[in-house]
Amino acid sequence: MNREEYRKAFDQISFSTDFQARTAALLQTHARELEKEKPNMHFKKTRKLAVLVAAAVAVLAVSVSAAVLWLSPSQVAEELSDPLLAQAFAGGDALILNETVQSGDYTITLGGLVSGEGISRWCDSADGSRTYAVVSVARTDGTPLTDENFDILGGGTFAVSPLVAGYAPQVVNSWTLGGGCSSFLENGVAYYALDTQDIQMFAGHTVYLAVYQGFVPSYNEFSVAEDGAYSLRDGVTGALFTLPLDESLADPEAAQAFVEGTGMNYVPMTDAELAALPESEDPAVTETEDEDGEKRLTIGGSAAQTDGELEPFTAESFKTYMAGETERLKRQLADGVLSQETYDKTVAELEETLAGLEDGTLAAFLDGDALVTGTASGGGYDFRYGKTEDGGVGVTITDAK
Amino acid sequence: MVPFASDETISRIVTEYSPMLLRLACTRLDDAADAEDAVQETFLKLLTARPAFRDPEHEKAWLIRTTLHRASDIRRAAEKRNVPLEAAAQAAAPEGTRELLSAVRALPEKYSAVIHLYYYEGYSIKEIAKLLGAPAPTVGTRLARGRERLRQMLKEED
Repeated sequence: MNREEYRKAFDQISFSTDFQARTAALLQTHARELEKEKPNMHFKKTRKLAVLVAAAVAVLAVSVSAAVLWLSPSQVAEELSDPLLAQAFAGGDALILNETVQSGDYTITLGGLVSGEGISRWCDSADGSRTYAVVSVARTDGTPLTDENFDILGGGTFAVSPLVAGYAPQVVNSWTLGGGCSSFLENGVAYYALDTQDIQMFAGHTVYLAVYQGFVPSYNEFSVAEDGAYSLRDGVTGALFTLPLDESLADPEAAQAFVEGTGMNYVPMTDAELAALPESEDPAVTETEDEDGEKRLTIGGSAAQTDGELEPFTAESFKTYMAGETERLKRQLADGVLSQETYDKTVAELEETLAGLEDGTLAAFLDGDALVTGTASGGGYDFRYGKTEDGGVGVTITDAK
Repeated sequence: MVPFASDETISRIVTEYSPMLLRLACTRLDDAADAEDAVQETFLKLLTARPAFRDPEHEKAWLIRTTLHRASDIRRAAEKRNVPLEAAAQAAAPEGTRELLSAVRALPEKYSAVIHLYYYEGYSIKEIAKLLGAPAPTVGTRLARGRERLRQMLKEED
């Protein structure tokens, strides 16, 4: 398949000849209506989500300084300039929970949940139904969290993510669910507002809301039992709230399509299975030269062709690389060069690559400063990379046989 | 910045982006009419949400991502209703074309978007990374995997 064939296929598709004229007229009419009327801020039907604290999480009665003024989920939404969401949280269908867990030096509170379509100014019905959660974090001893002692946007502070029993942590989480998280400090308390794709499709499983110190969820923070149930690892500061969803809203086909669509191995691994993984060692690398004089390197079942030296990663060496990259990205984030969204996505991709190296589904190496990854399967592919004219990295996979 | 609601701006955006967005929507939708709905709704959302764009590239990236999301929503809604995905217009296309289009639509969505932006729109990996908000190495990997899956699917249909 080449560009010409691809373009020819799509050029065969016939669209309405009057589409542009029709669409422009529609938009112009709509624009005039918007100017005349106030925005129609009706609410879509919301669904209430009931929340229970997971049995495995200790719930303590916590006495917090009377000087701390807690914001309600509705007030949190107002602070984030989202009056639609504020009204949704103030409405009768929202679930205001204030369920609290103490972990380490912190008190973590799940303030409330609401779900529905078009209940946020940042999303409307085109985005489908989304779930919104408000979480707060405070020091248990009452010490106010400030910009000086709590970098709310930095690494190591709290992440908020759904997790689903029976699916690996890197497969179903805020990042793969297209989630966003806004946060701010107010009166010594850190507030987080999470929104994700509607998680009701997973209602046939146990669904959690995890609040923990870390980044993209991984086996570093969470342990998964044989039955797929999650727990926080010892030494990880955080909370794991179980969400008892309406099982009638489960959509097993959509859930399966979602996890398969990630392209990742979604079957979770128990601690025993993780421990049984072979020690990382240098993958078998053999170098040959073909009749054209080009070097061919075979890495653990895949083949890579390069015109230069390459250093394939092991999982261990990649962890070292990843630590350095994460620090570099943090500096860029602090300098304002990188957005939080891009930072989060890049870290997630690094985690995905590490997972692939650990389970043997990926090969990876550095081409100068560029990290290049490719599938490593027993099928035997030639994995070729090269510089594009604009200095990017182009990747080609062909059958090695 | 010219207010989006002006007729001039509306005409510009519809004229400039419709062809690309319609084809992009067709990477996820079999029916051209559904693709037209997805793109119209994207423009309507632009009108309603009025996001502030840093520059034209930001505007383009927003439209591409919103169109892809909307097309996915329409596709999932149709699948839930068990609506046949093959449209009559599609069936009239030459066989090889149908195979390629079907194969592209059968790809995981994150692969088909990259494939289309690379092969049809001619963007580089770096440019696609900016448009989709993904790291360049990730785009490279998705392009490679998407190509491989397409190759396998088209080979199986031979």
